[in-house]
Parts: sequence; structure tokens; C-alpha cells
Amino acid sequence: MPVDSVSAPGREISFAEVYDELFPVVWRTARRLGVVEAALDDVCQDVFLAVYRRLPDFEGRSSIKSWVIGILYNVALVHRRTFARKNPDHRGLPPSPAPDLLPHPQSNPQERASFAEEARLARAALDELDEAKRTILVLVDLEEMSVPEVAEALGMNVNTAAARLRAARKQFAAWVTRHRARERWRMQ
Amino acid sequence: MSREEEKRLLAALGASETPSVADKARVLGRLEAELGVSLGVVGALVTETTSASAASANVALGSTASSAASSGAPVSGAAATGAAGKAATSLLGVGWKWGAGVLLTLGAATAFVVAEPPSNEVESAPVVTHVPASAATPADGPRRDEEPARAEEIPLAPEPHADERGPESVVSPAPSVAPTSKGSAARESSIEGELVLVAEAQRALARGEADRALALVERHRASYPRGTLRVERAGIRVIALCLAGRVVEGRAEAARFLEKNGSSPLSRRIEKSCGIGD
Repeated sequence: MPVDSVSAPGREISFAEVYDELFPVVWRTARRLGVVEAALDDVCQDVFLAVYRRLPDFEGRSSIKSWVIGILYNVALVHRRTFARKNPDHRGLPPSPAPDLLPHPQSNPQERASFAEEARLARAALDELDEAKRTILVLVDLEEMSVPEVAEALGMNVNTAAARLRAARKQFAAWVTRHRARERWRMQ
Repeated sequence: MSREEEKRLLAALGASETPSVADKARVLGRLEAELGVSLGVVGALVTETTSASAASANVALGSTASSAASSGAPVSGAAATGAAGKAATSLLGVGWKWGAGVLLTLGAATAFVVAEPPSNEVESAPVVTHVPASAATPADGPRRDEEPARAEEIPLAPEPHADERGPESVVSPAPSVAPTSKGSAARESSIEGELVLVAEAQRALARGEADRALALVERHRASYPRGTLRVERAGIRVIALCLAGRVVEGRAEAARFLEKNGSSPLSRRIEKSCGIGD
């Protein structure tokens, strides 16, 4: 992966390279961590400002991706808290269908509906997790980072991260199951 | 629910969440603005504000304030225009993988928005920065021709880590040049002093240091109660209050601010920061 080559030891990393390679990662991970559309630019900007300022101190002990994700985690946390405080009734409410829920063009209407519905469901289920669990789940199961990498990014013990990942998956699944049961009950 | 199903659900969430080139460029433009890389723009701000067109300072603030703090030298609008391309190519002093075209348009868009009205020179520049292009007033156009000789004075590349100087070095010489004289020299130095404080406040805000931002705007208030940048000061204060969690206070001030300055470029940020209107 190109990102790994960036973090090769003894190699100076330029901000430009980091931005170029990791902007998409930061962007989509921020969304998945629950940063609302309106705050997405702000969050990405803050992350890369921090990257720009701290890059000279980056020692290459972790992968650059883990390092940047660690920064994102902290920035997103602050933004989410600010947002939650301002909109206490936001939690749990699926946001209005965002552009990311737009269907694949060639799928038929029914597939589209269920695809959007699944995305909404996944988002709502993620919203139920606490920050750390949500982050670990997103990074491991969606971003396909390894557990040790994620642990490093979040500054946590590998075993703790693994345990939280298991708990997150369980909680996620349980919420979806419960939600579906409720839906079925409502339909009857 | 099986692991496969969980993965499928998450995959639905993850599909098409990739940012567009425009997203990437827009955030880059904001970063560039925040870091003050397009130095030339400073001149536009200074020239405009000293010509009593204080309102247009709003436009430039976001993108130029920090560079004003690091360069400290008033430069002319003409230089801004000339430097835009070069500033863009020396962006952050590193080699970008992107096509130079993208960078050039980015740099140009940022600079032009504040430096001069849209002209045929920039027809091809997409408006990708967060600075509202519409806010640039045609009245600024001629002014940039007034001091073309000063173009040489402009440093084209920023100090690499201007932001990392001790905060004191940037802020403490709180220039107390009160706008006593009507002479443009006095006003220019006062605007510089104002810029230093306001720019630093804005940077503090960008770093999430709300308390520091509040302290800085307070200092601005003390030094320049009727300063040219008082609208920016008020706006930054509102955002900082909300960021600091003083939401009740922040929203009250936000309401007052928006009532008076509904069209300020800061308005949208204030609404976002204080959760107004969503």
C-alpha cells in the first residue's frame, strides 16, 4: 500500500504526500465516526492543520496512517461532543438521507431503497456505540486496519482494543437485531 | 446477526463515501488560507480597510489574517495578484503530486476573491475556497495599481513554521497605535496591530483553543474598541464562546451578530458553531 511506503523509515514525509494519500481516509472515516455533513470540512481542516504543525515531530514509530487517524479521533471527538451538546436530541436519529446514501445508478428502485435503508440502519447502530468502540469497529471492519494499528492510533493497549472490537461487533449486531424485531412488530 | 451481515451493513454505510476532487481541493484551499500561504492577499486586505471599506475586510479575513501576522508587512493589491500564481506553486514549499493547474487555480481563486473583482483573467478559476467570491467588490479593482513598485517586497514563500513561534512573539507586541490621526499611515499601522490580534485569535480558534481566542479578542477590544476589525472580533468571540461550551451566552451573542451582520462571511460559521439553524 502506498501509505506504508510513505512511512518507510529514514524517509522524509512531506505534508503534501500525507494530504494527498490520506485525505480520502480522513474524510470518510470522519463521516463514519459520526461527524455531520456540515462539520466535515471543519474537521478535515483541523486534522490537517494539526498534521501540518506536528509533522516535523512525527518520528515514524507508528505508521503515518495510524498517526493521522489518532489525530482525527481526537478532533472528531471534540466536534461530536460540541455537536451533541448543541443538539441533544440528535443522538439516535438517523440524519436525513445524505448524498452518500445515493444509490448505485444501475440498481433497481427496490434495491436502492434497501441499500439506503441499510446504510441508515448501520449509521443508527453505530450511533449507539460509544466513541472508542465505534472508532475501532469503523477502522477495523471498514477501513481494514489491523487491531494493533488501531490500538496504536488510539493510544490504547492491543488487548483492550481487541476486547472493545468484540464488544462493538456484539453491540452493533444486537442493536440491529432488536431494531429489526421492532420493525417487524410494527408492521403486523 | 452474522458477521457477514454486519459487514454487509457496514459496507452499505461505506459505499460512495469517497470525497470528490472538489472536496479535496476545497479543504486544501481552506488549509492554505488558514496557514497563510497565499501571502499576497494581505495587501488587498490592508489597502481595502485603510480606504474605509471596512466591510470588505470580512472577505479577506479568513484567508489572509494569519499571513498578515507572519509577514507583518502591508503589501499592495497588485502584488497580491502577481504573487498568487507563484504562491500557489510554492504551496507549503513542497512538491505536490497534483497537476500544477489545480494548484494554480486554487491559489488564484483564493487570492483573487479578496484581491479584486472577478475579471476575465479568472474566468476559468472554479470557486473552490470557502471565501465567498461575491463579496469581493468591484471598487477594489483600481487600487491595486496604485503601488505596483512594492510588489518586489513580498516574500513569496512563508516561513515554514511561522505558527510555531512562541505565541508571545506574535501577540505580545499588542500594537497600541490608537487611530488618533486621520492620516493613512497611522491607520495602516493600527490595522496591522488589529490584524495581529485578530489573526492570532482566529488561529487559536482553528486549533480549538477557545479560551485563548477569547482572551485575544478581549485584548483587541481593549486596544481598539472601535477598530476596523470589530465585526471579525465579534464573530470570532461568538464562535469561541460556543466552542468553549458557553453555548447560552454564545447563542445570545450570535443572534445579535447575525441580526447586524447577516451577510458576513463569518455568519455561516457562526451558525454552524453554535448549532443555529439546523
